[in-house]
Amino acid sequence: MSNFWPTNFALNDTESPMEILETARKQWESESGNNLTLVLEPAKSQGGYDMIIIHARHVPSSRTTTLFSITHRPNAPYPLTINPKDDELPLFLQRSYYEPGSAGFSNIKLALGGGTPGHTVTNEWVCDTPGEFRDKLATVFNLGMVKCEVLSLVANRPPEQASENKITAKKPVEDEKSDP
Amino acid sequence: MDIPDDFEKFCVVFWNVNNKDLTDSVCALASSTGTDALVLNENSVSSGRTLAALQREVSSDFYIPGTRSEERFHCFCRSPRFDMSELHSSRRTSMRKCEIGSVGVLLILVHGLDIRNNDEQIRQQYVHLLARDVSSAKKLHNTNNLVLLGDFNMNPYDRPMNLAAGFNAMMTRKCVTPGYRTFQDERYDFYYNPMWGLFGDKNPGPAGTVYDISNQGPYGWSMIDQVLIHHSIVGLFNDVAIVTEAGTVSLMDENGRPDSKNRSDHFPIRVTFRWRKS
Repeated sequence: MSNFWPTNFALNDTESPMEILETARKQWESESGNNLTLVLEPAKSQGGYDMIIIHARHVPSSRTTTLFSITHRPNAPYPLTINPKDDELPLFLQRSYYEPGSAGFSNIKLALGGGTPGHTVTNEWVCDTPGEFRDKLATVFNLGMVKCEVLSLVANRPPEQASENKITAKKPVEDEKSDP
Repeated sequence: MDIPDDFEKFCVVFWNVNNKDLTDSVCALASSTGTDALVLNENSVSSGRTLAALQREVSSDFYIPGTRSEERFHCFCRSPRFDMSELHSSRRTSMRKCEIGSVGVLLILVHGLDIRNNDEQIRQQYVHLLARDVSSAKKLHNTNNLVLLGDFNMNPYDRPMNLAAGFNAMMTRKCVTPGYRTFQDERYDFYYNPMWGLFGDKNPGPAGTVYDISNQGPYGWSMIDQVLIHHSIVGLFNDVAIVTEAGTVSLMDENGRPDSKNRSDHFPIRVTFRWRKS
């Protein structure tokens, strides 16, 4: 017998993106011993779409860093897309990256007026349902760039040390001779 | 503008040093301006080496406030009471906690997209993103007390600088007294841009911070290094000046323009805030 019920589709799962992110925020606070929290900032994209920008805050120092954002249509929370932060890493530090192919005969033909071949662009970060958003939200929190940002946020010297003890605020002076 | 005796001051100098080793001039500038904080942009010299020179040549009090984004802005401070530690950063900004008298201020260091490699539309788009970052910063750190300082790579009259959804920066103190204007039912806070007062021939100093008559600089002088002050703290602002000398060293060429051959193609700007002694 055919199955006409959509897969991975639950009528009782209607959580909004903000509700799911609130759950993530509570987990971050709990797992970090209240040292870290997520700040969920509603915003508008340049194109007029609704956004939520997700920042991490190191609570003891109030330092913050922006992790990623999500975008969806106004009054329509799904589908949404997660916009991971551009990692800005040089290629040799990226686990994977796209390497364009070299120009073969077919490419030369295209360059001579053959036009651009159609191709499908897959957006791996689009989520159609709350369940899919939860899965991909877990994935984006596991991106290397997010981990790097948060570790860097936490590892930084708390600003209060700068006012309490000037010596600790000073950066070690480099040996001038070691400069290239 | 002189500071009355019953006032204290906070002075910050910003200089885009154009990727040159200008350490001697930087030290002379810090010394002659008596600056409390020095921000260098596009400094090819390591911050540690610059700090060592400042400590040796100017004052051993100089230190580098806590930061996670040292590459774009090298920031040096003379007294921990001003703090200047970094609270948030993005690719082209660094947001610093700054104590000016009894007022906590968020000092946002800005380096706009350069004119040569980015057309007007791209730079305009960037300003909208930056304005959103600024809006985020206000919410994240629960303050309206913002000062934006840096190389905006735009003039005060360029549209993104004064559009409501851009920086919404106005020409005079009086312009910003209403506090905000409304566009499409959204309120946008005003910023005061004192750089307007430094244009043209009627000022004693140069008419801008860079000089360029190529097709990127059709006006000759441009005022791309700027400071913007949120309307709520305009009362703290004392003055801004374009600096043309670093001690005995002139930063100008024989035509009164930035000496891009021997120094930088930008003049530094010095911003002073003041408050009554308690």
